[in-house]
Amino acid sequence: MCPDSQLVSTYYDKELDQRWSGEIKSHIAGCDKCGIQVSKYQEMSKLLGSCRVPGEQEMKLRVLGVIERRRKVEYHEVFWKKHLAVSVPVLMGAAALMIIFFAGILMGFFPSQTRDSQVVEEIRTHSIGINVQVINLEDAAAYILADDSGFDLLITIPSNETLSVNGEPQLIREADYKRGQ
Amino acid sequence: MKHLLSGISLLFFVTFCIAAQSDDFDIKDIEGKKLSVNLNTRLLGTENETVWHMESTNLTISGEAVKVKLKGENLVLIANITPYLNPDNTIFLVAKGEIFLSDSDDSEEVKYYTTLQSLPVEDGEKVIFFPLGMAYDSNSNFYSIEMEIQVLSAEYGDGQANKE
Repeated sequence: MCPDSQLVSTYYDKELDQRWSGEIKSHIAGCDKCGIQVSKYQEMSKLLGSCRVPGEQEMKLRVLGVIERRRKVEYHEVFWKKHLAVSVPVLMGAAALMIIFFAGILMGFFPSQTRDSQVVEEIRTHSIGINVQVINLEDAAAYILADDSGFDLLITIPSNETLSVNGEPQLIREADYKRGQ
Repeated sequence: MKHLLSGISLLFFVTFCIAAQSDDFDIKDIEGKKLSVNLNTRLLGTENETVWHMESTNLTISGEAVKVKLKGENLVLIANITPYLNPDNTIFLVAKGEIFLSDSDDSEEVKYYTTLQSLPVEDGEKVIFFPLGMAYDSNSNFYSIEMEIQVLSAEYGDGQANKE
């Protein structure tokens, strides 16, 4: 008695249990009808394997085109959220360049001030700032008498005469001045 | 990665340009502002005659004071002579005077006077500063001090410093 055709198909697909598969195999070897059925399954498999899907290449290109367009749109839409893989040395180098850049901008904004202050500092090398706390004029006078540094010119009047204030200080042109008048 | 390198190169170039602009300092900027201040400090007697005098020359730049300290028997005078060079080569002269004065040797009282005088002058023009005031009366029985100031710019030339 021949097995069911569905069972033969299952055998051909190698999906039967090994015990049943052996019995079906021995039956097919001695049965022409079942052997013809298995031969039909083999021819059908060969035919399906050799067939090409109509328009397969065009369909493939069309799908790839759609994927490419979607990729470009997504790239522009989420640019600021994009994660870049940057190595640490490159990141540190970029940070150092940014610091140099902003330092350069600051130097460019205040060149004249720094330049003038440097010049003044060079010229005042012999000058000493007076920073003393005094509580009365006697202390101030004592300090003035004691410290001669910080002056370009020091003059001592070789006279024992007592000097006094003779009115308002004046600054006049020599042409407008005649001594004693 | 190419965009990152391009951005870094651009930053470096801009920084270099800015740094190049800030390094154009030239000492000749100072040379043009060099000023010579000639001082003739005189002590005048009771008859307004010159009892003693001292001449000196100090170099400075526009806006930087020549600081003079003058010690007498009973006073200390500090004078700051500051010339400002105008763009038209005229000079604005500022004289600041501070006086610490005691009336007598045995007096413990010290008087303090201060003054600030200014005058626009020509290059090489002489002016006179009276820090203690002017003695108009020839019969006044006291001594006085006058400081003759002459400011010469660098263009005026050192050879004309003694020009009357």
